[in-house]
Amino acid sequence: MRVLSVDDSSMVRKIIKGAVEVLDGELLEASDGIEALELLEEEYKSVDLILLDWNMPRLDGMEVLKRLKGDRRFRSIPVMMVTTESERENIVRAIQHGAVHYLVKPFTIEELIKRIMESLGKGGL
Amino acid sequence: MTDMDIEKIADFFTESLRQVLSTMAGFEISHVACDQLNASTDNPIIMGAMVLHGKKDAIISLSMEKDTAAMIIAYMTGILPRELKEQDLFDGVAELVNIMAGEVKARLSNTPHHFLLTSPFSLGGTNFKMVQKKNLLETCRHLKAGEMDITFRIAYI
Repeated sequence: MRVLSVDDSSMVRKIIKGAVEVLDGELLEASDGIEALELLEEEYKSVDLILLDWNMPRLDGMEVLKRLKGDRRFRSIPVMMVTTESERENIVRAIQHGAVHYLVKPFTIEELIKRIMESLGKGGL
Repeated sequence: MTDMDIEKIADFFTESLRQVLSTMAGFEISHVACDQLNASTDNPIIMGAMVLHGKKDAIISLSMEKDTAAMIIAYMTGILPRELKEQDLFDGVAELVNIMAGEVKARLSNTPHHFLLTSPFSLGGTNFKMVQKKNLLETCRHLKAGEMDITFRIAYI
């Protein structure tokens, strides 16, 4: 299992890395939307899940989500938003644009692992 | 914006920080009186901060000793404090501010005090003070997690 974490906080990426390693997976990292799209150009065939922050420099998560779902190479990769944006309209917007899950920070490591498994279609713990 | 408003908003931030640290690091924090807005220490400090854009702009900050930051980030990431780089601590404290502000933003979204987030940032050093113009509406909260001290400040600018 390969997971791409797109978040401008290295601390959040480290937390996600810990969760992915519990699931025997490998983490790819990008610190903003542009870096994520560049990385996906090379790696999209082997990425099973994208965890996407919303507020990031250069290109925000919602714009990345739209581009991913508008590109036939990337659109089948499930995307889970992992963000501080917790207003209902933002959650609805992300789901409408194709996110499979929406995890609001702060979260426990158990919640994160459960959502990753659900996003991969593997059910909960 | 009144004194009562800012105290209530500061309590929202405090409650949010309590939730963030409890959920992500397993720390329980208690609130003690904050009567030293410009307290200084000889130990290195890391301060995370963010400008909030609203009807009236504000700046919030969260400051703690570097060792406290290392302990909190270690519990959040599962990485030993000695294995964390200084950059991890600066990033981690800024992200704490970001998560805390995100929760309060949602809570205040349909009130006259709603605000937009900006990019969080960090400052670090020894014996520094944040000095603002006189008569700004500001308040602080001093929080304790065991022996660790954390100071939250908000000022309407």
